[in-house]
Amino acid sequence: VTDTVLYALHGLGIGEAAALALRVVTGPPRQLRAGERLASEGDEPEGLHVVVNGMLKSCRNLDNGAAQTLALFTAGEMVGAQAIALGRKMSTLSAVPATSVATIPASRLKLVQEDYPQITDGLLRALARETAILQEWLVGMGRRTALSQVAHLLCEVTVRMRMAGRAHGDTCEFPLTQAEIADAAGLSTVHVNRVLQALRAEGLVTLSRSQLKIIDWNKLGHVADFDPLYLLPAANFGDGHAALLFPSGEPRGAGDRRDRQPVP
Amino acid sequence: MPLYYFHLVSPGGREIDEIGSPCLSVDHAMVEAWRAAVEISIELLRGGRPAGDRGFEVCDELGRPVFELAFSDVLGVRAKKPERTSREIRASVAMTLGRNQALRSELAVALANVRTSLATTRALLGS
Repeated sequence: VTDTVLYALHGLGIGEAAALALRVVTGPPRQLRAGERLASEGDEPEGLHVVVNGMLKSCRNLDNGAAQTLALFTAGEMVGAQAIALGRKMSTLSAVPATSVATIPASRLKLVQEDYPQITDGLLRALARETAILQEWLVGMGRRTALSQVAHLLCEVTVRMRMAGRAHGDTCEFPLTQAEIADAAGLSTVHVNRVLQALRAEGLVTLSRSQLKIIDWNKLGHVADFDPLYLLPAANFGDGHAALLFPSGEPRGAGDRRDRQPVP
Repeated sequence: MPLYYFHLVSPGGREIDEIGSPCLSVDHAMVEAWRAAVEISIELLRGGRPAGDRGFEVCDELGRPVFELAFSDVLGVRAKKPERTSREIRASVAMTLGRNQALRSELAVALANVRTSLATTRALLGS
């Protein structure tokens, strides 16, 4: 537990002392069953949540019964800064598989923040990263094909798992069902099913019993138009993270986006 | 939840669904098939490829066919009388012209006959 919570706090780039101070006020991890709600839309913010094990999803449920997943949070990631800033939860948080979560209560966060003002910058960086991820999802839903969109999600989840040390080589736990991928991608379950089969048939991935293995990073990265830089907080640039993320070679699918021009 | 298998049928062959998708019932499977047909059709059409010649064959866990869904039904495509070719249009115009010509000839003959009758009648009245 200690390692994962501290890993998440270090990811804020706030320094050792501030991270330890927040660690001290972090509550004990609580267990959520698969599908169990941690917080509902409209709730007052409880605090900053750290995923210790498993995965959380942030979701908006519509009146017509449809659901749209807005974000996923893997082990070693934090969620809750937006709700603290806005004073209310803007979406529902629930566990994907059985998940354990540790929480830094909002009142205690505020007290520690008075002694370590750099925590504000850290929360801003965490929010910026969430926004960057959301932007990629938006681009996917608006302009990518279903194949590219799902490939992108597989790349992203694998890299995020790997950053938290939760991947073994190119294999990681992938607890999302077809329906959950569909809710994240805004696609139908059957379409996701066809896309997963296409990726498997092309020899790019295998996905079975909640285990995802990337067989060919380069091809998958090309199909996904995947550039992992958006996942790296600015504080970690240049510290060799890329080599850590891609032991079998960094995907080169995205190329240099600066040279790209819109096609009229 | 039972699995349903959505095999995609196209002019190129049949793509077997080896994974299956969980659906509560046949009705649920039909809704999912319909949604997927719309999404796949849009992607095909965006890529300039036809979509109306495809469809789903949906089977249950025992491999028994449950229903079929043609993408053309989803897209609202209906069989339409084919457009006439320019050759067919030319042939039709030529046929109409020929018929008009024949009618004119028949009319001319009928008119000549009427004139002849009138002349005969006048001659008889004058004599």
